[in-house]
Amino acid sequence: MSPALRIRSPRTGSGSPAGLHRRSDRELLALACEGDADAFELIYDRHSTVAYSLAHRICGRRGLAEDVVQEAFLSLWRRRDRYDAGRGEVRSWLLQIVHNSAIDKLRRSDVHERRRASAEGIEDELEAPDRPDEEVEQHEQATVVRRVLEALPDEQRRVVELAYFYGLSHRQIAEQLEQPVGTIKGRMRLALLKLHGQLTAAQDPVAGVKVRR
Amino acid sequence: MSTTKNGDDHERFDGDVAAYVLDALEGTEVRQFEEHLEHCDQCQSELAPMRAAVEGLPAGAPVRGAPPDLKDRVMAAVRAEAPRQAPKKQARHWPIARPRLVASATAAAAAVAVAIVLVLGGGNSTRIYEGVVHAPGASASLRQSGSSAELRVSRVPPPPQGRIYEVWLKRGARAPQPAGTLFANGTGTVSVPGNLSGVQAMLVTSEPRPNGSRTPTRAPIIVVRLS
Repeated sequence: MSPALRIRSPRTGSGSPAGLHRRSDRELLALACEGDADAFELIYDRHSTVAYSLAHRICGRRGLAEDVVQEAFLSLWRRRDRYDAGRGEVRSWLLQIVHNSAIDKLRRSDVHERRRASAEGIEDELEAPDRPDEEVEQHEQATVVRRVLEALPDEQRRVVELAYFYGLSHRQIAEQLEQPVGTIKGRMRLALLKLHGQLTAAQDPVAGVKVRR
Repeated sequence: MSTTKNGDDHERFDGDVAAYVLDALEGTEVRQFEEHLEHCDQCQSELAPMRAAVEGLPAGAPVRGAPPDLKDRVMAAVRAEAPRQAPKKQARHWPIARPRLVASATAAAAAVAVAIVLVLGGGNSTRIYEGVVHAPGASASLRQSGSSAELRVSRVPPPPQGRIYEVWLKRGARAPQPAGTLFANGTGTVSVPGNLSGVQAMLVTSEPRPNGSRTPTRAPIIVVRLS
């Protein structure tokens, strides 16, 4: 037997590369807390596409989106021992970091930058980049979620998008749409309750939306 | 009018759950709502479904694959900071006696930083640690002699506009600490002040001019392992 075959990992079995793939995100993060970079790499592989897609949707520029995702994963790595399973999934925590960071960068950019970012985003949309296999699942999830969003009344979808993807407060949205604050809050509430209901109804094809790994 | 357990009127915060989970409340509104939420059954009952709805929104963004080199940068930083006792792929698959190889600047090699240590003769022992540079054709080495150390870099590309290279020292599981060294030239020698005792790795990242950062904001372009 070669020396290599005598070396046994403390993660024997489930710790092999194939075994890691069967692990949940929480288990992978627990391994990462022990210093296992391979486990963390798998978390990156699972969620980098949705993280980058979200960052790009908010920032509108490739460079900013890359910065956001890089900072988010490194933040997740450096704060991995602070993960509280009682407060949600690893994926949700990561995407919250991505969202906060992307909105922060968007808010710090001036109007000119926002417009330029928007223009670049449109150019990117027109590029219709090739999607490798690993992005197909994410693409299917996006299709379902967008279909649910598009099924909302325009005024409800608009307030959710302005708040979530543009980082506007309820008052800023009220000013922009020239509607009372109470109306905006009411639309947000109705939109989110409908979204939850329809995403739950589409649970099977949208299993990845929640990704209870 | 509905009331909560502590007598607050719910109608004052009606609709705020959605604004709260969308991060659309302003300033002190967040704290005021959270205080109300603590005692309001009605708002608490709406919190979970609305939060779940918001958690679904990222999947609605147009799909874009992250650039491959982004993963290289993230994982290079992760592996540089991973505790040494952590199991490594190579340790599981290579014979123990296999000599360690000098890393090149290829993406594959970049995943694991490898150092060559040369101990030179003479009264003052001098150690040279070869680093990994994530840039084609570039090289870096750390020369430690007694209590002083120098970082020698060659053909490292200039930092992005508005940024400067900053040197960090990594000890154990602690976050990298700034070494107080900033430089912009891609070829030359810079001194690395401070005691290198217990330093696991030296990292170089590009940080905002003129004073750098308190914590690294980018993945390292140079990684030199000392242990």
